[in-house]
Amino acid sequence: MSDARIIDRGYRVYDGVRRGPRGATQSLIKHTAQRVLGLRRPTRAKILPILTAAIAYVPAIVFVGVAALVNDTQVRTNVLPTYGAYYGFIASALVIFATFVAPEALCPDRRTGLFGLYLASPLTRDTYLIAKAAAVSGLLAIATLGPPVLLLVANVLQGIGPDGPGEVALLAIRVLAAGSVIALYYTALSLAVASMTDRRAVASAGILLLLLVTAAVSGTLVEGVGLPDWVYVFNLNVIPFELAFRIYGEPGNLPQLSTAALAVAVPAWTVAGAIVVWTRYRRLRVVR
Amino acid sequence: MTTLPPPSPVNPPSALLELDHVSKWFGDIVAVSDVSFSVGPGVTALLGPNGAGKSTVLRLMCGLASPSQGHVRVLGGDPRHDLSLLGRIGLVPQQEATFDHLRPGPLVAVAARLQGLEDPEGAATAALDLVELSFDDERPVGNLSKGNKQRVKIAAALVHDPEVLVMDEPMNGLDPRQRFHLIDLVRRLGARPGRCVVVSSHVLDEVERFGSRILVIAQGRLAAEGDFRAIRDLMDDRPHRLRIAADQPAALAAALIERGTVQGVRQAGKDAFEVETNDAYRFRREVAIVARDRGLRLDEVVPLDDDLDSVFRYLVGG
Repeated sequence: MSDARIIDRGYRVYDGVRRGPRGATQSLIKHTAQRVLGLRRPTRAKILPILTAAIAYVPAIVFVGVAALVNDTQVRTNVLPTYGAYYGFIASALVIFATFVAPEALCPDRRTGLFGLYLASPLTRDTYLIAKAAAVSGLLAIATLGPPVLLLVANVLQGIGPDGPGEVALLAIRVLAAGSVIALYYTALSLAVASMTDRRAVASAGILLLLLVTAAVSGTLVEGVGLPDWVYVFNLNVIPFELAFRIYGEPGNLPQLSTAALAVAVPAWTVAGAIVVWTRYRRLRVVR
Repeated sequence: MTTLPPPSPVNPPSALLELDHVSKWFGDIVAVSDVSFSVGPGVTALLGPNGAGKSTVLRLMCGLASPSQGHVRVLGGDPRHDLSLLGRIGLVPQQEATFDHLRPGPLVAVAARLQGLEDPEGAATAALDLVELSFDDERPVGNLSKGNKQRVKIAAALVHDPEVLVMDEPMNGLDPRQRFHLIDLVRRLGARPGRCVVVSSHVLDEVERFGSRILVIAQGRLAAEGDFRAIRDLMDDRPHRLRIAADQPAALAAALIERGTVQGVRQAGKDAFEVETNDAYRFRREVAIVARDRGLRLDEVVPLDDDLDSVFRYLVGG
């Protein structure tokens, strides 16, 4: 009998491991992060993510260097920022990322019809959004958590950090809390605006306008019209950094704004953004 | 076409070489996908279009690459991890991997020394004799013709008398006489007991003369394996085409149609016609009987698409 055989090279039923919704979500997180960072894409897609990382980390590296080279305590105190104030150095990085980079996570999927394909996989609308939010917030957290952690570790190693393990642990918790709050806030904000359009440029313009207009309007209402200080909670450009100051126990740039108001406003804006995205995607009609 | 789902390898008696559900990918590129086959003694031709994954399969066989998935076994061991196996495998690479400043004898002797042979010069002389070159040839390898360089590469691969010889596109650049000689050499090497030669090529009419056992790779997957004539017989969705010459072709064609032996008939000149039949074996048996019963003279029966070239085209869609 001949041992010749022709093998069907056509459609084959997949009989390998199926990782289910969990695997699909992990896969989407990974590929969204790759896309947002511009990996396996043209050089121009990598410019803004690299710029964001540079703006976020270069000041921290410089400050660590200054702390290592300068022994004068007075000079150190004058030159080196507090942990809360460090976010002022990286605010532009976060705004660039939230404005120009993060919309890449949502808009192309709708424009190209890929969203419908994702829903044909084990992903649901909810797990899709969770994966997208996880990818964007994870990348933002690299910018919001990494530099303060770097400063903390360098300061401890040089003996100019907090005293004792308890103080170090408390500061680490503050770093984690402040970084997470800011990352989640900008994730919700950028995805909420991006969910309104399938054009990335429109989403970027929308996020930028939202930040600028709320800053201008709230400032005018408080300082021009004389409305109470709590109206600053509508200044979407400032409140996450103000809350970060308070988490570190620092007065911040708007000491007249109560910590309680900030503690309510920032999570509220974050939740509002999440609700906008969720509602928008719940109602989104998918054409396959 | 009679096809099978992706199977486990069909183990010919005393398989020297086995790939079991082997895949190899480079980043996002899947070079080889779920390939399973076995190779026994003799000559086996590995065929496939450019970029099909032939060279990757050969590299996997020689332990030069590790499979991303699956297992490769050569002479019962893993060529990637069992270094002793490398002394039992010979590779003739596609690239011109020679030291051009050396003469053929010393170059092959270097290969013998690398294999740890006790008498490198003697082994080199024997290997060069096998490819009809002389150890005493004074010309540097760089000055040799492409065909002679190829022979030197083969001698270097043969110097340690490997049980498995892998040749990647050995026909490239050879003139017809050199090809004829190489085919003869490969057949002689494959005919030795317990030895196998795997040859990749896309020069099909030459490969056909190595022997009939083939492995066809297309788009990184195994498309078919076995005797190419048997593979052709498995293609029941492609009728066999034959050219029949007779003194009264129209009468013979009508008789064959009436008997139900053929599915289609087409005139091919004044004295011949072409037929299509799903059962070539039955047709060959009955055509003479039909001609005799009708008092017709049958001059010629020529298969038109049973050669390796046709089988290959059917398999890879070329």
